[in-house]
Amino acid sequence: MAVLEARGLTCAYGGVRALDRLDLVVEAGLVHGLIGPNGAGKSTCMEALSGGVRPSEGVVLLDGEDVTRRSVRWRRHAGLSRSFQRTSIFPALTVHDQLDLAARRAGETDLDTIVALLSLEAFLDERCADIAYGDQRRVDIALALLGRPRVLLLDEPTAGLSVEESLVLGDHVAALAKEREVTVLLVEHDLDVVFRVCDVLTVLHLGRLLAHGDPLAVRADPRVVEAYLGSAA
Amino acid sequence: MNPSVAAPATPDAGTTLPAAVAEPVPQSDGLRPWVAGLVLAVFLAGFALPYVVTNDFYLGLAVEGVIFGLLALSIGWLLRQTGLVSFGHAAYFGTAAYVVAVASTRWQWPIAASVAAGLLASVVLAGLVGLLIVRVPGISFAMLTLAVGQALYVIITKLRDQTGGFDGLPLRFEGTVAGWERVELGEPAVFWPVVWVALGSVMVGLWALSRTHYGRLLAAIRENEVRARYCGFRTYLPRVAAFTLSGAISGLGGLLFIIHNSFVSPETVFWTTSGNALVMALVGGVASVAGPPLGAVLFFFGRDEFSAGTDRWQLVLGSVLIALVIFAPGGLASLAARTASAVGRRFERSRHGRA
Repeated sequence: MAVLEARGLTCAYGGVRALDRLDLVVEAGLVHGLIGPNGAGKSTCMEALSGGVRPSEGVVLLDGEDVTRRSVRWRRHAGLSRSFQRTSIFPALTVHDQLDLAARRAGETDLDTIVALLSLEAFLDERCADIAYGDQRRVDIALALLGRPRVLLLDEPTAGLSVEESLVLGDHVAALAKEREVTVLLVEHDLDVVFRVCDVLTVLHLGRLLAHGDPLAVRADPRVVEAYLGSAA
Repeated sequence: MNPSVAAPATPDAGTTLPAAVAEPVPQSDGLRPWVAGLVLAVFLAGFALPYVVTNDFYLGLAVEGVIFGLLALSIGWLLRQTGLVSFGHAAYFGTAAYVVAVASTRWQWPIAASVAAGLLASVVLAGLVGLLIVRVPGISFAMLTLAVGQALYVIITKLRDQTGGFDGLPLRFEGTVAGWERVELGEPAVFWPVVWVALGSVMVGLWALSRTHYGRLLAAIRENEVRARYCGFRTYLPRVAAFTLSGAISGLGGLLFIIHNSFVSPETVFWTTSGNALVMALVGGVASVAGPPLGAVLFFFGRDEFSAGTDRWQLVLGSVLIALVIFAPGGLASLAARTASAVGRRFERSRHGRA
């Protein structure tokens, strides 16, 4: 069953179409990967789905309801949450204070589980600005997870992390998708993480859908190999 | 029509805060008992000031310092909690003062009603201005506050029939305020407990508010407004409320000013009054509620001290401000806190060394 859907989604900046009539269906309960080369339109897609930008054309459906003109805040309360490509936290607040603040707003009653799931116990009393980058990334994801969102958009969660940290975070993503019963749309450049955790893959190229389907089938698709994967496949 | 999308909302959108604001946000824990005891002792000791400082002139400077300390505190708290820099808060200070004077002197309203109207006017004005401008980021916001303040200055000078124009307006009323005649209220020794209680109440109130859910929300919005929205928070109305509260505190300062001085002039709402109050807040430090009032009291005593020897006393003020920005960007209160912390650590080390 589709929980999040884009139909004919187009985002144009002047004459440049960052997204060009994109159709995307995210099925409930899966980790859905969204990959493609730089400039493919992945981040624009995340912005349009989450409400950060209003598309020029097309619609966004959440549980079948048209949310294209709904605000970021409305979508968050409707169960659509996200993390950011560049870490987006509240640097001067402690980890505990910002999670507690956001948890109250989101109606989260099981903050301890999220803290444990993302291994944040050791930093709760630290200011977020003072903890390591990888830990800040996990705080970013924790903020997005509060309130049991039904759909979680993760925009390059492993950006800036080491190989080992990336794989650990990838496992965190897979675990939380299962434990919290949340559908994940994952934009990621780290293909080891993508093929490790994703149930289904969509490949974008120049703002358009290039391929979609089972990760193994997508990896073998000659168009994907030529446009993006190259020798990495 | 050329199809285009709105500018993407970047998670780090917003303004870069001055170093004075980049201080730890108040934590949700309480005040340590010895600190609470010290604060209470200082507050109680403050009531004895008229018995210690018997010179009316110096006590008067202290009263002025505390009154303008409220104005500085309102600006400093707004800056610290929201990151909004106001160059026009004298507008709310002056509005309260002028409404009291006009209502009482011109319209012969009872003083209690005049005072209530003065406070209400500053709250309403701050609320309306806040609704219009808190969305505007950075320096544009500061310029708008300046514009509002200067517009009010022009209005006051033009409404000569009511405000007295450039000549100003005296406060006249029949009866008493809290049992004191108007003349008595101008005596520093009589008025000191009033301003001291007002300042103490506001400081405690703002300190407590900063530690509530609302206070932390304001800090979160200041830190990362886009993220706050993605966490499901409204980010506009909380800032409007903070701006309005800040204006109300300025208005309280204006009320005390007119009741004590029995006279108000357009200079009260001029931009230099706002600018000086911002300097007081930065000198004292905005990271603590004690900083801006401390800066205000030092400002008045410093001005008296240096202006006696030179008519270029602003040169001294400017030099002090430059030195503080370079060597103690958190202001004097932050410097004092760091010194106390260092002394405490040294004491702990020496104690462990002896053990």
